This record gives sequence, structure tokens and C-alpha cells, in this order.
Amino acid sequence: MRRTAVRCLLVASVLAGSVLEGGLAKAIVSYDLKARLRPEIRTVEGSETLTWLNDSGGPVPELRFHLYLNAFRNNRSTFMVERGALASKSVRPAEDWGSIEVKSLRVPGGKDLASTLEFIHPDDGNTDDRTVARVLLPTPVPPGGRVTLEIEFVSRLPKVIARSGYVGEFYLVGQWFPKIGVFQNGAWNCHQYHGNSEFYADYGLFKAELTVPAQYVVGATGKRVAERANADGTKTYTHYQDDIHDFAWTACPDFREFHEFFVLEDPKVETEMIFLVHRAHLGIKDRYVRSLRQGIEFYSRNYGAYPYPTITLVDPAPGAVSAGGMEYPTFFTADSTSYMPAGVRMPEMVTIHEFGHNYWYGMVGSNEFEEAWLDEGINTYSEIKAMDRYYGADRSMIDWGGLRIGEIAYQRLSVIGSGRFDPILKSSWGFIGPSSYSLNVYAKAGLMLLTLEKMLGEPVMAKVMRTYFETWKFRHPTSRDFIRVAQDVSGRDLGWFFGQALESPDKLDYGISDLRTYEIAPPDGLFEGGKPLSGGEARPGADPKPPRAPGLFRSEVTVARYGEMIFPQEILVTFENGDKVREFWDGRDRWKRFVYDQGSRVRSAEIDPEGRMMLDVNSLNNSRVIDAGGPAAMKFGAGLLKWFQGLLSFIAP
Amino acid sequence: MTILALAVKGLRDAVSRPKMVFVLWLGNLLAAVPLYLLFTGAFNASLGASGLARGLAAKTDMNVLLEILTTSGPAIRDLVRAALGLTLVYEFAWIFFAGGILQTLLGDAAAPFASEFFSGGGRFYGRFFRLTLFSFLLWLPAGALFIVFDGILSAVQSDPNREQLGFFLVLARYAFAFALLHLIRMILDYARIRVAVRDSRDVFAELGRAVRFVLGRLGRTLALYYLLGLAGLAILVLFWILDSALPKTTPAAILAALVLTQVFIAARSGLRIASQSAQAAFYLQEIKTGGGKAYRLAAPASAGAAQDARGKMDQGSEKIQAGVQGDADQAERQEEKPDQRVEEKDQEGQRPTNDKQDQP
Ligand SMILES: [Zn+2]
Repeated sequence: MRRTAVRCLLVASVLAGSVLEGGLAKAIVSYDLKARLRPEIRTVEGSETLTWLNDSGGPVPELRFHLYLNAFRNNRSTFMVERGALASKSVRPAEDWGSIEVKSLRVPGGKDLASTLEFIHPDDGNTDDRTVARVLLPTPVPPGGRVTLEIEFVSRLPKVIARSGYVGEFYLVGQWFPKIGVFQNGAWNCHQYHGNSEFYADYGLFKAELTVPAQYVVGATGKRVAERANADGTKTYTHYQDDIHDFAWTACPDFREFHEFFVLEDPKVETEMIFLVHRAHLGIKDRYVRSLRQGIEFYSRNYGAYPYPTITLVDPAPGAVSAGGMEYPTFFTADSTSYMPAGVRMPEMVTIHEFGHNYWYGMVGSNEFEEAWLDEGINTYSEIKAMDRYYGADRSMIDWGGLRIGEIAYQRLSVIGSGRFDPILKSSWGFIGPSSYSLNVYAKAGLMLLTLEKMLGEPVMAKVMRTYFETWKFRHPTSRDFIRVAQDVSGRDLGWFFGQALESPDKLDYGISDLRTYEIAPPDGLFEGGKPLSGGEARPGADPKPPRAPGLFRSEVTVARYGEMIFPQEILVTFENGDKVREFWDGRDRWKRFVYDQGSRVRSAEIDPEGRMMLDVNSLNNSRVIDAGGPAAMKFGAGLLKWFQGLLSFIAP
Repeated sequence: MTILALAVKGLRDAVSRPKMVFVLWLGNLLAAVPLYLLFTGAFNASLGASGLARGLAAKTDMNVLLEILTTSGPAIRDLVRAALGLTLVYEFAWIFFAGGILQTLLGDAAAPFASEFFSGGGRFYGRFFRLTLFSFLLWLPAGALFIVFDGILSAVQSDPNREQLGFFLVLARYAFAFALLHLIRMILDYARIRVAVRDSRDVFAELGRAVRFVLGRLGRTLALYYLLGLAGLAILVLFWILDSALPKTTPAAILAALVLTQVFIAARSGLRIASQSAQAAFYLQEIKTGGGKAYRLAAPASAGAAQDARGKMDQGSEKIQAGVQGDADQAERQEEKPDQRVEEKDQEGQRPTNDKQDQP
């Protein structure tokens, strides 16, 4: 109730054009947006009143803006070039391209600065790229001072690409307005839109008046605070939200709108879940509702209460796959088709993942340009934990027709098959290719955190995650900050771990390289003063042959490091009589051998018996048995034979 | 005979020829066994000592299997190459089998199986090989048909929002492609029957006539084909149920599953014989009765030509010789002759392939 009153106050003050502080985040920006969707020309005509706070210690003479939609302007933009547009001969129809044009930009009462806008290319020097612009202010913004700009712009929406644009009458309007960069450490952090990159922005208040033809159903970031019908057959919806750093919206006449409430006692959560489900996908609605509930519950219980009054799930129209699976504050797009089998948990996974971004991209303001793993990697880890919790670790991805695949296994596959080109920690445009970006930033980072969890233990890791969230929510952390929290909470030096897992492309692979056991041969040769004993014939006066130990076996376990990454190892050795021995190895050398002389032969040896090395790229060499062979080969051979014989019998001409 | 009676006759013919079923099954097994050996060898060499891989015997863990697949690229490449090679070898072998099957079914029932089957395989090999190559030409009209079908479906699905309809239309495309594939296989079946029955050497022309024959009786040829196809489906379902019920965690259970697979393959081989037999009987019945609206029987053959053909048959050296083919008319004319031979054999009280065809 108290928050509601504060919010009303904030709305009032935003409307008055000022910036108030007092929310969860320090409000650096305040946007008052007005947008009119003109479907006939696939365009949004907009205006914004932006107030920006100079939170630095020095004056700031220029402002920098993201003009993200210009990434889709032509095939020379950095985004398009990085996505291979120069090599593509296919010609896109004119209506497929998108752009954003600043029509006017002025300090209230001042002259129009639009003509002084300069496109800059801080990342790659590509002069054809128009996704970042700067403007020199008439007077610098003093430290602690604010500047207000009134901007008019026209956003031409592309055919859905990179989670933005239109398909038919479906519109996902994201990255659609001139958005100011982040001024930090005495400089602008305002990167171009890259083929792989996502986003980075400052917190503040966002209010938007969205005008669309009356038949369109609208969803947007934040809470709807007003709604009115206009004389020209349009409707205007006003949304407001504070403590966020971006604003997106959607419109489609084919949406069906559902509202449900989510309430949790511990921690206290009360939020309205809004579902905009395309009429073609109504059969999926219950799966969306269930998985969103699971997502809110899991993240609230494990990291911190979801604080916003709404969360909006958008189900993209058929054919708008590229609009699916995208996160914006309090608003995200899911991903499904109407014929998705219940056991294929894609809609659930995407829903939980995209909701989860409200934590690691939304509330924890990670810089997705420079350290994308802080969002995608931590969120992949969280999503795996949630999926395993609700659907079972061995079947969290697929449980369909007897086929069961867990998400960890699924994520491991991309890491196993990866090259050794990039570390996780790299600017998003620095990866050798899109697959290297995604496998490192998502899968490898997620598995790195699962490995860390196994090292520290689940309770300690839970505390690390909660502390990181609590410490860095509504701020901009770096990887160093995450490592510091992990070290502080666990009380352990983890530099060696992150130095390898995060900052190097090295692979982790240990295994049992050899396992052998044999009966120790009887003494033979020279003993006791060099007298020969060989030949079995003891010469007169010679010492008797030392008695042979009855049934003494030597067992040798050789462990090896196949990868470059060094990780302390535990080895479990099992003998035929049931004895078990645990060995420890610092893992530094390339190999180490453990030798046992005893009455029982070794039966098996296993490295990493607790399965801590989630990053291990080959878990098949982690265990070895003396009694090789067994029916596994026969079992799968018979299965293969069945399929092949069946195939042959079918294709006989 | 009715379609059902023809199918039943085909099945009975197959059941009464266990030796031929055995040969076809053995051919299938021999083509597949190298892949089994290659796989188990590679598996044991790289994973035989792995505790994790051994654990798969007791419980199939897809998560481990996927890891094996991901890390076994070169081995999988080898297996796929081997499978493709073996498939090719099997295809060539099957061309031989097809000749053997028809010779055995249509030839001298009193002759020893081995001599009939293997001499038939050799005798028709070149012709059936060419026929198989020519049959690829049928994919041109089939492809055109598919494009038309695809265009119609695309027009039906003008609203992208009707996603479920779209999904079913994708299934419809697959079904149509499947149907075309089987139509071509069926035409090839009849072309082989024609070549065998008429001992024709102009296989290209026979393929064309087989197309006319099938299109002229599309309903009945399809009915016969899919009736036996249905039997095949029933066998498959039964096999699936039994196979799924086997736990496959012990060598004995795996062996049982292997045996079950062989029974299934033998049953499929039998069904293939049944299908050939039923289609041959249908063909002979059709040309004898002149059934089918689109099929034109030509004027009676000249006495000399008929006599010539009859004489050759009587010699018994060419069991299913049906006369030398002249021009197209002459070919049509001569189609009656094999049936004369069949009738003759019936009267002789022998047990030819088509023994039941006139008494449904
Ligand atoms: Zn994500």
C-alpha cells in the first residue's frame, strides 16, 4: 500500500517533468514517452522528454544516445555486417528494413539540436553504422545537475528481426526510442548495436502514452495507469514504471488478454501476471501461466522478492519466431507453437528464462555489451536450477514418449563440442562467431556456476547468489564484483577458478587414463648379498628364496589431465573385496599414478565421483573398470541392427 | 478374384515358401551385420572400460547417450559411411532377389527352389537393374505433382495465424510424398512383373506400360498394395509392442530382442513375397479378363506368333516365356498368353503360383 502511494506521487512528479529519487534505484533517467503506432506504414511516431542526472564528479558536455533501430537500416550497419549481410546476395523487400530518425532535439526553450547530432562508431569505426549518436549540449551538465531534452523521432519498424519489429499485425516495439547511454568512470559507455550484443542502460522512471488503432490489444512494460478512447478511432494506453532501465511494448489485434495474480508470503510478493496470448496459441496458455508462477516463485525465494506490480508475458504471433524469447523490464516475450508437445518443455524453459532476466538484466544492471555472461550466464544457471527443481534434473528439457533429456546435459553438449577460441568474459562483438558467443555466454557460464556450486556446496552458493543480488540490484556490477561476493561469502580464494573458467578458453578434462591389476610375481634374481636365486635351484649354502606373499596383487590407477584447465581432483578406487579408497590430487601435473599392493584386486576407479566438474568436456573417461566390455555394446548394437535391418527391409526397391 | 482374395492368396503363397523367406531374411541380415560388428567394435574400443558407458546396459540414459554422440564424431561418420555402403550393396542384391522371387512364383513349381530362385535372379538381373534406373524418371512427374500439391496447400494456408492448420498441412505434404514414393514402387513392381511374365527385353517400354496398367486401375492396384501394407503395419505394431516389453538389460534379454528382430524381418520378407505374388496374380487376372477401362486389349495375336510362343513354353526351357515382343500392338496382343499357360498348368494339376486365382 505504501509503495502504491509513493508510486502515485512519482507519476505525478514525472508528469510534472521532474526526476524524483526514492525508489529502489537511483533514478538517473526519466523518460516521458509518447508513441503513435501507424500500422499502415509500419511506423511509430514518437516523442520523449528525457531528463538525465549527471551522477559523476565532473561536468558532462555531450550526451550519447543509442539509436538501436538503425541496426536494421541497411546491410552496412555493424549489426548486419556482423551477421553476414555482406556475403548475402538475397535482397530484402523495402518494408523489411527498419530505422529511427531524430526529427528534433532541444533543451526546453532552446534551439533544435537535431542537425548537430553526430553518428559515432566507438567500437569498430564503421562509418556506415548509425546506432550511436552524440550531441554537444549548449552548456555542460554540472556534477549532480540535470538536463532535460525534448526529442521527436520516427521509428520505422523492421520485419521481425533480433526480437523487434512486426509480422502481419503483430508488433513488438523494442529498442524503439532514442535511449541515452550510461555515463560511468568519467566516460560514456554507449556501444553500437552488434550482431550478438544486447543492451545496457541506466535506471529511472518510464512513462509512456501508447496510441494505437482501437482494435489492437496492447501490452507494455510497467503498470497501466490510464486508458482512453480517442475520437479518431484510436485508443491511448498509459503505462508507468520506476526502477527500470528500458521500456518495450507490443500490439496485436489477435492477442487474448488474461490476468492472474501471484501472491507469495515469504518473501512477500504481490504481482499481477498479464498474459497476451495470440489466438493461435490459446492451448499453450496454461503452460505459460504455470511456468511463470514457477519462475516468480523460484527467483523470489532464492534471490529476492520480485518487486514490481506487474509482469507481462507476450506470446508472439505465428511466424514471429524472431520476436520470441526476449526480455525487457517487467515484460518479456515467450516462445511456442500451438503443437508443442507437453513433454517438450520449450515454452516453460523460455518463460522461466525470460522472466529470470528481470533479476540479472533488469534489477541487477549487468552490462550486456561487455560482460554478457553476468546476465545470460547467471540467468542460464538460475533457469537450470528452476527447471530441475520443477521438472526433474534428468528430464527438465524433454520428457516425451520415453525420451528424457535434462537441461544440464543439453547445455553440456554445446560446451563439449565447442572450440577453444573464446573465454566467457569478452565483449560481445569480440567472439569468433555467434555460436562461440552463445555457448560461452550462456552454456559454459551456466555450467561454470554449477561447477562452482558443487565446489562450494549448495547452501554456500545459494548465499553467494542472494548476496550478489542484494548487493548489486539496481546498480551496475562487473565480473570482478561477482567474484568478490563469491570469495567473501565462501571465505575462499576463487581467483584460480575464475581465472581459468571465466577468462580463458581452456577446457576442463580429467580422466582415468589407465587401470590395471596383476598378481605380484614371485621373487626372482639376486637377493641378500648378490647371490643368484634364478633357475629355482638354490645352490648349497645360499640363502633360501624369500617366501612369496600369498595372493598379493598390485593395482595401478593412473589419472590424467587432458585439458589445460587445472582443477583439484578426488578419485574413488574400489576393490573387489568392496574396499573403497579416496585419493586426492591437486591436478597440476599431466598425470599421476596411485599404486596399491594388497590382497584384493582393484575393480574400478572414478575421478570426480561426486560429479562436480560440470565443465568437464568428457565425462565418459572419468570412470574405468577392470572388467571391460559388458552388454552395453551388445545392447546398443542390437538396437542399431534393429533399425538398420528395418530400414533395409523398407527401402528394398 | 477380389482384392481381398488376391491379398490372401499372396500371403498363402508366401507362407508356403519358407525357403524363399529364409533367403530374403538372410540377405537382409548379412547386409546389416557388418554395421553391428563395426559399432560394437568401436564402442568397446573407446568406451568398453568406461564405467559410465557400462552403466548404460542397465539403464538407458539419454543424457549420457547424447554425450557419447557428441564426442564420437569420427566414429559416427564411419558408421554412417558404412551404413550407406551396405545399403547400396543391399539395393543391388535386392534387384537379384526380385528376379528370384518372380521366377519362383511364376515359374515351374515343381523345380527345386534354389535353381529357380538363383537362375531367376541372374536371368532378370540386367533388365531389373535397368528398370530400377529408368524408374528414377518417374520422379519427374511425381515431383511436378508434388509441386502442384504444395501450391494448393500453400493457397489453403493463406492465413499464417492458423498455425495448427499449417502443422497439419506439413504432415499432409509428408503423407503425399510418402504416397508418391509408394506409387512409384508399385509401378516398378508391375513393371518387373510384366518383364518377367512376358520375358520382355524392352524394359523402358514395360515401365511405360506398367504406368498405364496402374493408372488404368489405380483404385484396385492401390487397394491391393495398401491392404498388404496394412498387414505390414500390423506386423510392425506387434513387433513394436513386443520389443518395447523386453527390458534389454541382460545379455539373454538382448539376445531375445535380436531374435525378435529377425522374426520381424522374416515376416516383412514374407510380406514382400506376398505382395509380389498378389500383384502378379492381379496382373495376370487383368490381362486375361481384359478388366479395367483404360486398358486396351489389342486384336487377337496372329496364329503364328501365338503358336511360336506356345511352342517355346511347351519346351519347358523358358518357364515363363511369353513370346517375343514386336511392336506395341503386338505386345498388347501377346498379353493373353501367360494366362493360357496358367490355365494349362491348372489343368495339369500342378501347383503353379496362380493356382487359386481362378477359384476365389
Ligand atoms: Zn537470455
